[in-house]
Amino acid sequence: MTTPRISTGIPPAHTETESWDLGGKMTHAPWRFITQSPRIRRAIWVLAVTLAMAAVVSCGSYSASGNTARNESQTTAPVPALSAAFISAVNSTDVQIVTTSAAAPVTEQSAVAAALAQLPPGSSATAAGLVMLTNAQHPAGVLAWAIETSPAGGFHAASGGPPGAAQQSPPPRNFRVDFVDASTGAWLEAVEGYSTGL
Amino acid sequence: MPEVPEAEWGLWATGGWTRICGPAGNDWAQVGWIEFPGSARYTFVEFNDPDVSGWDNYFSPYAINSAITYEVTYNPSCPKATCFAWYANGTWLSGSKYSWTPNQAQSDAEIHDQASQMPGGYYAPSGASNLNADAPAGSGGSWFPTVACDRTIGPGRSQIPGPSWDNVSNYGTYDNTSYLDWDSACPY
Repeated sequence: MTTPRISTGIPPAHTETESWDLGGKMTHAPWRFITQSPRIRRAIWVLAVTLAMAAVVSCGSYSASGNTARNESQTTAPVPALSAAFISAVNSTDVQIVTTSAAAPVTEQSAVAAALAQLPPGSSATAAGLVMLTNAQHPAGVLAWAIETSPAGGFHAASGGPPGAAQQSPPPRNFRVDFVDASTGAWLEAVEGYSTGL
Repeated sequence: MPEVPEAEWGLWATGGWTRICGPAGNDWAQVGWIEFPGSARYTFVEFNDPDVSGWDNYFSPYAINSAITYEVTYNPSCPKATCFAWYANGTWLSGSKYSWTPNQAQSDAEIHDQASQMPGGYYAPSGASNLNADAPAGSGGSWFPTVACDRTIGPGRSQIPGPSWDNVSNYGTYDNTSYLDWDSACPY
């Protein structure tokens, strides 16, 4: 992350030499005291930089960070829409999704937070879309948010297969989607898979 | 199979499952429980067929210390969405339209490595019981016991042979139906 560039309207450097007698000489106006005191200017700079960095961390990232991320609602910003390649990859698994413009009681931000709550700290959401999800538990379809997520630590298949398998390492995975019920906000399931199109 | 809390684990995951496999060794369909680093616990389904597709489904986990019945079935009357079907405590979790003909049934656990602890710890181990397979699929089949696999997963996710299963129950009583996930570094 690059250091955020901020502007507070305060000169960046203070070079003049001043004598401040706060006990006796109160001839300067209060504003001049605030803007010309080296100590206070330094304090304002520190405060401004701290606030700016806090704003960047809380608003500019969609990732789950910290040990409490799994159980906390998180502030998230809108993420890009799902790509056609990603939708195709998801549909090569056991679930089927079709994008829709139906109204959803649950917001995208809430859905992203619900998805990230299922992942280890440091995971992130990279895209989202409202879909009709059809799977074994919802054969007639359910309105859901599909959240493209990136687990902290990368994608992993759960298993390496049976002993003696010709494939001596877990099968590759390069995408994950988490589904959140768009009517209730409940996390439904996640699917990880692999697609050469991604 | 009981769900157990995560023990010492820093690399990948720990879990237990049952599955059916194809003769090629790269085809399998399995269901069980798993926990990734960061306390990310799930009930999961995995299907693998390198010729067509492979994926993992992750669902909400069952409670720790609960005993769950996992089942995977094969229906030769394909193609449908239920060539393979996965269940946990009788709930249909998922189905696959892809198909291959299985010829093995296995139950398995994968733990960290032989230098660390088994999932759940010495006094709260995980394990499996009543491992059975029914073949041929459909009516007319009969149940017979299966043999648990021996395996651990070590650093770098390579497969290292080791006794992750042992047919010991009740802390030392030998039988042929209950299996605990043991690590060879742990005495019993």
